[in-house]
Amino acid sequence: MRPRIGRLFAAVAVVVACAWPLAARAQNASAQVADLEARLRSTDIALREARRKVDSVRALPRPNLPDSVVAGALVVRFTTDALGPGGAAALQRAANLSWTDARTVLGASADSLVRGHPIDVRAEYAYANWWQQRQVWLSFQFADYRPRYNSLRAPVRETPARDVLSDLIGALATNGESPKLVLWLGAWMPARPTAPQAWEDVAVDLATSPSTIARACHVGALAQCEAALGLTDAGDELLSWYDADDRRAIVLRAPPNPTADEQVTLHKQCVKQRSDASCIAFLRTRTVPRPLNIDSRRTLFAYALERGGPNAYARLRAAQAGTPVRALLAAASGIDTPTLVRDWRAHALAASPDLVTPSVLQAGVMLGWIALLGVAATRRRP
Amino acid sequence: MFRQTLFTQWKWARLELVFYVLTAFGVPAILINVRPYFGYDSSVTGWMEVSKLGALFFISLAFVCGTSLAAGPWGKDNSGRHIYAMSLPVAWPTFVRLRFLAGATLLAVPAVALFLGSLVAAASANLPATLHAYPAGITLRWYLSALLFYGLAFALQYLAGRSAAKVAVIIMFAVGAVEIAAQLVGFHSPTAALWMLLTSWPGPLDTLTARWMLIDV
Repeated sequence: MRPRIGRLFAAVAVVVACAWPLAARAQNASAQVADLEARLRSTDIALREARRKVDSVRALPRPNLPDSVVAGALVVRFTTDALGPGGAAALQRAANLSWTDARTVLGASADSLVRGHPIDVRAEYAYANWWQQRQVWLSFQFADYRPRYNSLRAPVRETPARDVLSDLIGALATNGESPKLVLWLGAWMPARPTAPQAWEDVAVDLATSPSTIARACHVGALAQCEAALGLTDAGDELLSWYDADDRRAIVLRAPPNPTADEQVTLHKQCVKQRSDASCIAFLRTRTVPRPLNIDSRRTLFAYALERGGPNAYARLRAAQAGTPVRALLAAASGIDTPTLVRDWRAHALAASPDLVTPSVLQAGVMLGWIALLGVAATRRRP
Repeated sequence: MFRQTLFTQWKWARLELVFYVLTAFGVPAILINVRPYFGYDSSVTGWMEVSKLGALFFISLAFVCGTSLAAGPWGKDNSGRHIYAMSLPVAWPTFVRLRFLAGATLLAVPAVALFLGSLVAAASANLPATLHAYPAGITLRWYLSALLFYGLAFALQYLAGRSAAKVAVIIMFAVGAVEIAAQLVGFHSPTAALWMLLTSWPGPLDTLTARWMLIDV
């Protein structure tokens, strides 16, 4: 009898274990809220614990990096094996180039800025599935200045490594700058000369900006250039940067939150009935877009340093805290802001490209390819 | 000899050329003038968006014109087992060269239509002061690109013969297979590197990555 009872008990236990979980009993709303709050609390506790563990791991002494490359005052430390084949040589070339760039833009101040701040390159993590080659990612970070870091996949190559090093030097240069300037620059300043492509981008930005004042700057209204660059106090930015047509064009491309009835109504009134008041009311719920993008501002900043010569950055750092951005730019460049902005605009427009029409060289090379294909076609008889 | 070849290819291709001419002439003007009905306003952004839409049309038309004008004559010759070509008192390379030049000349017909259509479109557009129309520039780019597509299709057709379509499909699958295999194994994408090589200066497909904008800064 006993074995049978035992088998029956086991069978029932198996059936119960395999059975679909019973639906939770109905709860009233307050009980559900209490349950959710309890879960939230326990998740929060688990998250804090996980963070504490991560922090404790981060606080552990990191292994020393035995190898390094030096370019001027710039020191980059690493472990040769982590960089991949040819990585150390590529990193040396990259460091030389980015240091030359930094010296060009920041002048002699680059030495004091970078000295004593080595950049560490560490194998951040590696992963591979059974069918995959092992991939190693490297983090680039100042040993003592952590807010910004960049990653590259090993093996290190010259051009991306140069970009990363310049980016980090720019981040270091931004640290300690006037908060107004940092905000105006989007929390990062360039530490390399402006590339020709960047000037082309400024010309395109000026011509295609959604803001009337930026386009007015493009066609020659110099006073508007400063406003478009955010160098003057705009007051109500929505009204001073954009006219009614601009505002409607922005709203047209900014879909409303479908669950917010008021936004949907305002959007419809703005787009369909051309009600500027509705456009303004709608845009008040959003961040007002800048007339020109941050990269255009950065070209002006780099241009100011270039115009100011080797001591421009030192003059910038010597300026008193709270100095307006336009005064900082004037101090760095050594010329008054309207002249600086006028020359910046002229520089940008001179780089304005005709991107549509192929150049004679491009057309010639294309014809060469076409002729080559034509000749290749004669090589085989049917 | 060239005139005869040109005339023959004109007779074969005239119907499709009429279609290309109508499309090349009409679409830019239509695009510019019906844009308000499709939600494109007269702001700078609106014009740029329409222009980008036009870019798709220009590239597609160049591809279709180029490949169809390359494949057509081969198909006709092949249906007669190339007896006509062999019976001519010219060497095969000369014959192929004449076919190539005749097709390239015929491609000029839709190019002229595109130029006129772009001119009409540009004249009918009330552009903001910072934007300009480039009818000549876009036509030159279009013609060169159509010639390039034509050259690629022509070379593939005359080198691979009747298997041209098969070879094209095999190449496409091979590229896809290599890419997938490389991604799985964790290598850098080889096809991306190849694509960069082809589409960056002075690669043959550099023109594809240019700005195909009738209206631009």
